[in-house]
Amino acid sequence: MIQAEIETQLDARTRLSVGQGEPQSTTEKAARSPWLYAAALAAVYLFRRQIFSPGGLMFATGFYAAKKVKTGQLFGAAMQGVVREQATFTINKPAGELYDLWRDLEGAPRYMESIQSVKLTGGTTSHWVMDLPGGGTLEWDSELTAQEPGRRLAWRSIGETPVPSAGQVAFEPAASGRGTVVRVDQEFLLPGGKLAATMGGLFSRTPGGFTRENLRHFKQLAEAGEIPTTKGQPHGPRSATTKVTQAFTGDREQQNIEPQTGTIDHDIERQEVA
Amino acid sequence: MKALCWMGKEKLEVQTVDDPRILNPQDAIIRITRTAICGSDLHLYDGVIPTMQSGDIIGHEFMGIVEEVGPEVKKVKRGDRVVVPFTIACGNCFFCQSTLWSLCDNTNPNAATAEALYGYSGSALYGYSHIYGGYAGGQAQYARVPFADVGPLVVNNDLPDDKLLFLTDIFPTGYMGAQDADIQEGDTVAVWGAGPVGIFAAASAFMFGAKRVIVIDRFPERLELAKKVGAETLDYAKNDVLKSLRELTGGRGPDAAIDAVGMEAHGSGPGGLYDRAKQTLGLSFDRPTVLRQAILAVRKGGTVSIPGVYGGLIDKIPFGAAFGKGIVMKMGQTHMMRYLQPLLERIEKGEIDPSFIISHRIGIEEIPEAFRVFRDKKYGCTKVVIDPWTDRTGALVPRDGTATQQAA
Ligand SMILES: NC(=O)c1ccc[n+]([C@@H]2O[C@H](COP(=O)([O-])OP(=O)(O)OC[C@H]3O[C@@H](n4cnc5c(N)ncnc54)[C@H](O)[C@@H]3O)[C@@H](O)[C@H]2O)c1
Ligand SMILES: [Zn+2]
Ligand SMILES: [Zn+2]
Repeated sequence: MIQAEIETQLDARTRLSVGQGEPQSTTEKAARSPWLYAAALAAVYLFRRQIFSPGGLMFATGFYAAKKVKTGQLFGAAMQGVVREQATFTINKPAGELYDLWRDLEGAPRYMESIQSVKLTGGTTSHWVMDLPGGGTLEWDSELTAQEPGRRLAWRSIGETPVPSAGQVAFEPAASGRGTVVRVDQEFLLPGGKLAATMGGLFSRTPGGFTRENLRHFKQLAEAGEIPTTKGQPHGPRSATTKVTQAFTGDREQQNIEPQTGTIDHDIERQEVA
Repeated sequence: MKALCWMGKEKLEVQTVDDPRILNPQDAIIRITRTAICGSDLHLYDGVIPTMQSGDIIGHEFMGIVEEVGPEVKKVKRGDRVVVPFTIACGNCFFCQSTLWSLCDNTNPNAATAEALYGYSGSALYGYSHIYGGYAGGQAQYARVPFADVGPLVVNNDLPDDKLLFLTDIFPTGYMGAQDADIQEGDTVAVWGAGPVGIFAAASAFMFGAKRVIVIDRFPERLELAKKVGAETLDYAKNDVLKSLRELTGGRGPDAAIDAVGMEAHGSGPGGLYDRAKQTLGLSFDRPTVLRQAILAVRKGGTVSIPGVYGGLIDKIPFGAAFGKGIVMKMGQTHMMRYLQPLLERIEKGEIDPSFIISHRIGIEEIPEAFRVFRDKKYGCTKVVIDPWTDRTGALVPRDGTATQQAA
């Protein structure tokens, strides 16, 4: 019998090694902070009130996990290891076309959340700038470690960076010609300290969330030609509770979409209907 | 523009908000000429659909004139008269291409939230909570319509809006409810709910070859509409539904059962009280009285079709009965784009005039009160349509003594 295999390992050239980032004890401290528990309780409350949110759920899960494993152990372990994330979608387009779309690295900000810009700096290298919540940016250089047209791309960060990362995207024809199975594997070495704190502001997007949502947006762009959004649409006054909910649910559709036009041109000749 | 905003449970306000703008290249902006209140909106009004946010513009049954199109809109043009289906679909994903339009992969910006709750996300809907995308709805003067070449149906006839408006939702929904019931020539079909969806399901059941249709409700004016489309009626407040259906079908049970009521069924007896208490305590979103009856009533090997909306978890469902009787169940949001053109043709040929269910025509300022009237089935209210460019028509509340009595 064939064992279904869903774990993918990055190749040796791409893979991150554990010694790369030093775990910092600030995170361990953060994990012991009463604020974490206050936030967890708030999340459970929101969950109970049926203001359901992935952010809330994440916190609730974190809360239970933290209670199960001793907090220090849990976060200590997470900090020493590499965070591995995986996302898979089937996309209704041929593999070659999808490979080309991904290979156009400078186009990544169209579908990757918070990526402000990507500049090619050489045949296989590029410079990435990411917006952080609260205003700052995170910059790093990246190198392609594998390019197999129509099949696979792999990359890793190079040089000094606070968050070493590596990843690959594989394209495989789906059964019966129903599109292409696209799988992304990513690895991050998350340092503690300042950045972990800023990441705290991301509540609703864990690295796994980013991996998954970015791939979803890639699919939407490839299939539908645009990424759905409601950012910039009209609404009535939002109450204080709603604003809290929005913060928790991460009501922040990515992409700062530039509206194509300003307001409606009301001068249109109206075709009145009875 | 003016728009109806959901500000909380049973709290609706007409607010002046910004006009919508083109946000994505395949968007269009529609100037709304007619819009309506749907039974589904009542679930929002009653606060039983999760992930609503105060300030959300609601409404999903609207038509109008295209005012503006994005750079990638190729077919629909400025000035076109369009009927907008309530589900938003991309047209290119596996689901759209399999005509499972309401399950489109690519239109819900909050798909991650929907996945957390449902495992996978369906298509987005207009004005129907953030789990369904959080798009601003159509009880307003303008609306932004994404994927304008995929959803909207361009109409080139001079039929009045009132005859076409229900193509946006309830006519196709009733029709799909009947189609999902897998009706064979000569069948007997039971339909729970004589609201707009139930009435169109009953009318459609005959189109699919049903010999008899039995519609169940308790409001005389609604049962009257059911009679108009040729159905027999059963008042559930006066009769034991299961026993009556068994008798009416010669002891066999109806061949198909259609639940056109959904999660806020009016229940009686201890079961009903139990469901209502759970819903009030927030332990459950849904009151599945009708679904239980439909499962128990349908004949062995029959089909239960569920156009009525359910949102969360339900319990005390007689699943053993469903299994033991070998029944089939079908459900879901309507795959709108399958039905727009064929049903438009039926209307154009004069085979059906869907406007017969309208009881009230009102202006935009009257919507908040109309929700209460429609929910409580006051003043013979069966369906409310709105001209968003009129403030008030004064037609909501009858001008006799009942008005003061009902206002309390
Ligand atoms: N699947 C879809 O895509 C879709 C689209 C539109 C509407 N809907 C759903 O269809 C349902 C009906 O919509 P509507 O516009 O007709 O609403 P409505 O509120 O006007 O009608 C519901 C009717 O059900 C009756 N009813 C309540 N409890 C009953 C019971 N125990 N037995 C028999 N009848 C009972 C009510 O008296 C009422 O007449 C709602 O749940 C709505 O959300 C689904
Ligand atoms: Zn509806
Ligand atoms: Zn689609």
